[in-house]
Formats: sequence, structure tokens, C-alpha cells
Amino acid sequence: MTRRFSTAILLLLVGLCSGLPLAWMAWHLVTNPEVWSEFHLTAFRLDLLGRTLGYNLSAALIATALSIPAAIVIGRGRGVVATFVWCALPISLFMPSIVYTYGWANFLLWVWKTPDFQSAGDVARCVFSLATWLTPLPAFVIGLALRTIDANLQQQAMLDGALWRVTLRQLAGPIGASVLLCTVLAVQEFAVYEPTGISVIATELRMVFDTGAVSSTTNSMLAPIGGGASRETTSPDQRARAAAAVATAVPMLVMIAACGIVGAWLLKTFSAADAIDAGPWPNVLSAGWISKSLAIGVIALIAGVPLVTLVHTLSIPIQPIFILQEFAPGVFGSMLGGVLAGSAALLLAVLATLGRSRGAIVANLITFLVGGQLLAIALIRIYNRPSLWMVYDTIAITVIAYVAKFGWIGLAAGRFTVSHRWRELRDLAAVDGATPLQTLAGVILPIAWPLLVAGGVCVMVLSITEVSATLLLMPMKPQMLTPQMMSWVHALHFDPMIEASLLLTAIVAMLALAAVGLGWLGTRPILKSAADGRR
Amino acid sequence: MNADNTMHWMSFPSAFICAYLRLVPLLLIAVAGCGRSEKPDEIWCETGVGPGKVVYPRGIAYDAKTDSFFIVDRTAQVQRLDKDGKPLAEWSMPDHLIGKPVGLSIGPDGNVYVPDTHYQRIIVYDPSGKEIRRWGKGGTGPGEFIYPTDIAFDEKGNVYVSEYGDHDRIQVFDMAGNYLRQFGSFGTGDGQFRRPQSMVITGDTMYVTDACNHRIIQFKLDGTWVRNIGQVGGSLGEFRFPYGLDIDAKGRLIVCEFGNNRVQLIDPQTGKGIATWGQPGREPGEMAYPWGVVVDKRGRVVAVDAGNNRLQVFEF
Repeated sequence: MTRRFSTAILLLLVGLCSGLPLAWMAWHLVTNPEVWSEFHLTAFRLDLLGRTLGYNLSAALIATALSIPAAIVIGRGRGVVATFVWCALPISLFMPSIVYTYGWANFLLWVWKTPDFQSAGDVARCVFSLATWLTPLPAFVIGLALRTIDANLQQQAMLDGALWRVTLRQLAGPIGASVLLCTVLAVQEFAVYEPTGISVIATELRMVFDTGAVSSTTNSMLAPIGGGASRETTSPDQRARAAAAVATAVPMLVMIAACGIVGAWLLKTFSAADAIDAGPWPNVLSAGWISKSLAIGVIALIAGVPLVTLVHTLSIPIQPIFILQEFAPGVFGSMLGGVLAGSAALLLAVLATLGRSRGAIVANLITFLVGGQLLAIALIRIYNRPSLWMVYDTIAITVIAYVAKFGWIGLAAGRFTVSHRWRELRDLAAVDGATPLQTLAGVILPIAWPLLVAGGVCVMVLSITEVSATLLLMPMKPQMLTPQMMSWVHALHFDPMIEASLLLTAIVAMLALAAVGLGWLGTRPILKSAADGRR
Repeated sequence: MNADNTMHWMSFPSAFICAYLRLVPLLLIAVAGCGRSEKPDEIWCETGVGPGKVVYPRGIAYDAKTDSFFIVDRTAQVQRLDKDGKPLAEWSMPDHLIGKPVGLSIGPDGNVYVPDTHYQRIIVYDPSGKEIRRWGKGGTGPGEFIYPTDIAFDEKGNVYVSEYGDHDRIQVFDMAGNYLRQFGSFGTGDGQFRRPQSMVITGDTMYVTDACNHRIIQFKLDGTWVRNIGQVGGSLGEFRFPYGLDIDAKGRLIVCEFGNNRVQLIDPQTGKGIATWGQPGREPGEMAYPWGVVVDKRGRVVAVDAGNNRLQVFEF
């Protein structure tokens, strides 16, 4: 009964956040004649598709190449340096993409000059910014995969003089999957390209939704945010623009689906991973000083350079109180959105410990992969009606978007407690006559709560830094920091933009550290018991 | 993990998580739609490209002689609207790939002066949109600009151009665009700016919105600093990113605040706030990142509600 009830609530929540927008998109894809015209690959469409794939695949390849030293340290590192890499590596990914790209643009201006808008240099700047922003992802995917490789196999390979060949073969799947994962995330990203008006599918999607047409010499995309979500309850125009935007997104969706499917297949087929941790490895396999030095160098590059540049570029002394006063409404809104989304993720995590959640995770992952822009457009079209103003005109619609995009993290944290390592605990409690609810309250939550809360905090962090959906939804009750920042991203050396960036980064860094600590606390007992079991 | 530890941990997390999750919906309800907004008299323009439509409008100017308004938006379209907000004419800026103007003004000659912000120049149009002349180029020397934001005129026909971009200042030109002098510099001190966004001149006094220092600065026309009005905050008499500025028939300052999403009425004598209009939101009477404001000869305030793609008309 408890299990059914919790499954029902979970499905209701995920259905509301992910199911409805996905249904709206599916409906438009099926019924919209413009969608089919997108399959006629005209020169313009081919060009756009080629640009999008070329830029973002390059970013993914650079990110994966940069990540290798850090991945080695994550997979086979010991000691202080390894701990540092674990903690410091995600910093870039936790910075909002607009803050990150702004940091790199200012760095170029500091040491050299700003490339001309939309020039080859400008594209290279965007691709490199995107690559360094995404670097932590492949580092963790490959590093965790490396941890799962059988140490005996590696030792034997080492004796045969083929350590790297064998290890690379073992990691081929995770490396390929990392490239595709980065491509998927890069393809959705528009805030890196938009400030200098570079045309890729993600930026054109927003142009079409904002103005009804793709960018051109008479419809330049270079501008602060438009009011995509402005109140036009009865306007047929917004309906038409939304439909056109969905049609524009079709090549992107096809690309994301292809990358997602191939990536998942690669991970499943080629990965040596069959457990979270294959256990201790001999010292001879530990990451050497070259890998450790390179890993620290990569962290200095991807996190240090943009942050140091921002601090250096600020023309006035940093005054935390003044900055907080300046941005108080935006900070309150962003924090509230984050807290509410994090709480919803925590609820999902708790429900996932009780009920079935596989389908919910799949639905949530699909909305994550579809990207924030399409999600926001779907939510705008669903809720932009007078009877639903309590959702549309409040922070609720933004929280729904965040849960739709990141809820899977909470669900995954909850699902972790139904893995085989936890089953013994549940079985023992059941033998003692405990109901599922009693097992949850008396056995699972007392051990797993840090992990579940870590999932919630992680969703909170990602929600605070989310750009694509937030910009289109442009919440005003309360207002959030990201849309305000987006209107300044075009002006380099601009103090308020730098102050807001540093403020956001500081908030997010503190929360991310809390999430890492909680995650460590939550997984430690179960991993420790597994290690004890091996001994 | 032993049984004792389990029992020990049990009560805290379960109770905490349950209480927290119960609190969240209450918080959501508390925040949703709090506050009451005063409705505008009229709303002009709607989202889109074309006559009477705007996408993120930023600049506005009022021509009292012809009783018409000029606006410029993110599509780089300049539109002329009649006294009821109906479109009369429109034209496009010549270049807009790297950015759009953030303001525009009407000169004593009836022409439209547009600070072409990202192209570092001033372009002058006649009211029908025909370009008359342009001046300025990128740089920090006399007659050069980084990011020009607004243009104001004194009774002698001098042209004042404000600019930001690490070299914030106000330059003074004659009507032909010849450089005369300059005042102000980048900084937080008296007489210094961080993004002088809008200017208004009355008699021999100039008021400037010093947007990133969250204040209004009063100068004499020779550039002598007189005083600062306001400080950062959301209360009456305080500002967050004041962008737009105008003065009404009673000599009161009308300030449009990008960061507080409102228009504020200021008594220039005391420097105190008298009233505010608007709050964050999308409904009529609510605003999203307003950029500009003007007062017409009827005393109507027309605010550029940029994020909502519209103009809102009201009276204090």
C-alpha cells in the first residue's frame, strides 16, 4: 500500500514536471507541418546543422582530451592531491555558463584583445570556453570508470608492457560516451554563443521564439534577453512562435537522441564497469606525479583563469555587503528557486526510496536532455492562461522547470538506497516485521539521509546556476539573478556583471561543498561495509 | 553501523526532512503573487517585429512640439508613436550586428539624436527617419566614445553625451557635433560615475542617473558637482540601477529603476522619494527590467517595460 501510494505521488510529480511538457512537445512535433519541412535539408539548414555539430563536437573533444589527467587522478589517485582534484574539479561546472564565458572573454581582453564578433577567433573562444566549462564531466565519467577496472588485469598488462593500451581499450566506452555526453550538453547551450551573435541551433531556437524568425542581417540575435515569457494570454503570435521554435529544434533533438542512444550503448557495451568501486589497487598503479601535476594544471586553467580574471577585472574593491545590497532581490529569488527545487528533489528522493522510480528517472532524463529552452517554451505554452496565473506568474513555473531538468539527481540518490547493497538491510528489517514505511524511517533514512539531502542540495545548486530555462521564463515574482546578468553579458569590464558573477560563484561554491560533504557522508557507510566485506 | 547508532540517528533526520517538506508549500504560497499593483491607464505596444510591436524596448524620448514619442528596441527599430501610442513611422539603425542603442533624445531642432551605443557614435535623424548627420568614433579622446548612453540639450543648444566603459564621462558638443569640453570620470566618488545612463537638464542644473553607483548626481552645467541623491536599496529614496530619468512639470524627478522594477518620484529639493509605481511582474502595473521613462505635456508618465515588451502609461 505504502509502495503504491509513494509510486503514485512520485509519478504525479514527475508527470506534472516532465510528462506534461514532453507531451506538449510530442503533440507539436506530430501535428505541426513545419516540423516536416525541417527534414528538407536546404543549404541554410545544412549549414546550421554543420555549424552546431562542428562547434559542439570540437568542444566535446577538447573537453575530453583536457579531462584525461584529472580522470587518472580521480580513478587512481591517492592522498591530498587526489582529494583536492575531487573537490576542486567541479568548480567550473557549477559556475553558470554566462559567468564562465564572461570570465574567459575578459581574460582574452586582459592578455590580448577581444576577437571580432562572429569571427573564427570568436568561435574558437566560445568553443574553448564551452570545452573548459564541461571538462569536469568527462573527467568524472572516465575517472569513475577507471576505478572499476580490475587492478589485477592492469597489473598483468603492466608486466606485459601494455598498461596504457589495455587501459585505453577498457576505457574506450566511457571516453566515447563522454564525448557524446559533452556534445549533447554543448548542443543545448546558447548563452555562450549568444553574446556575440553566433548562429547555432540553440541560439536560433531562441531567436525564433522571441522574434518569430531566424537571425539575419535585419534580425540580429545580439541583444539582451527578450521577453519570451511576456504575458500574451490570447496572442496567436506566441503560439505560432512556439510551434516554429519546436520545429527549429528538430535537428537538435535528433542530434541529442542519436548521441544519447550511442553514448548509452557505448557505456553498456564497452565499459568494464560492473561495480561502483573495484576496491583498492596496488601502489604501482597509482597516478604518478605527471598526472597529478597536469590535473592541477587543468584545474588552474578551467577554474582558476576565469575566476582570477573576474577578480582582477573588477575596477572597485570587493565589498560583499554592498554587493549583497545591490543584488538582494535577485539573490533572494535565485535562492528561493533553488531551495524549492532542491526540496522537491529531496521529496522525489524520499519517494524513490519507497516506490518504483525507473520510469520516472527515464522521463526526467529525457527532459534534461531535451534542454532548458524547449522545456521553458513548453511550460510557457501550457501555463500561459488566466486560470493558471498562480503557476505562470509565480516562481512555481520556474521550479517546475528545474525539477523537470534536474529531478533525476534526487531520484538517482533515492534509487541508490534500493541497490543490492541496501537490500540486505531492507530484508533484515522485513524479517523483523517492519513495514516499508517503518524500514524507511528506522533503517534507510538514518543512514542515507546525507545522501538524499546531498541530492537535493545538488539540484539546488544546478537550479541557481541554470541559464537556458531561466532566461526564457524570466521569473519576476521574485526576480532572479541570471536574467539580470544576461542583459550585461555583452559589456566586458562591467562591474555589476563581475560583482554578480562573483556573488553567484561564492554562493554556489559553498552549497556545492556542502553537497560533496553530505554525499561523502551518505555513501561512506555503505562503501565501507562493502570494503569490509571484501576483506 | 550498529543498532544503537541507527536508533540514535533515526529521530532527527526523519523529523527534520518531514517538517522541511511540509514548510516548503507554505513558503511557495506566501511568495506567490504577494503585493498589489496599481493598474496603468494604458498599455502600448505588444511583442513582435513591426509597427506597434517591440522586442525588449530600451530607449524612449518625447517630442512635446509634435506630441509624439520615439522608442528604440533590441531589433534596432526606431518607432515614432502618436500621443495614443499608435505607430506613425519606423526605421532601422544602419548597423546593429554588434549591439543596439540604449537611448535616444529629441533635440531642440526637432530631430532625433540616437547614441548608437555599440558603434560608438551619434546619429541624427529627422522625425521621418532620414539620416541627417553622424559624429564620433571609438576611443577615449575628445569627441570619441566607448559606449554612449544618452543625449541631453541645454538652452544654449549645447549637446551633452554621457558614456560608460571604463572611461565614464559626459562630453559637451555644439549642435554640429564639435567637441567643446567634458566633465566627470569613472569611479565612486563625488562627481564620478559608473555608467551614467540618462541625463535631464533643467535651467542650469543637470541630473544624471549614475546607474551602477545606485544614485542620481546633480551637476551645474559647467560640470561642477552639486550633490548625490539616494543610495542602494529598495526603500523610498533608494535606488537599484536607476536607468531612466525625466522631470515633470512640477520639477520632480521621475526615475525608472532597472533593479527594483519600478518608477520612483523624487523631490529634487530634498532628495527624498515621494512615491513609487510598479513592482516586479507581468500583469498590468507590474514591470520587468524597465529601462526608460518620459513624462508628456499632460503629465502622463510613459515607462519602457522592457522585459514585458510594452510601454505602460500612468500618472503619479
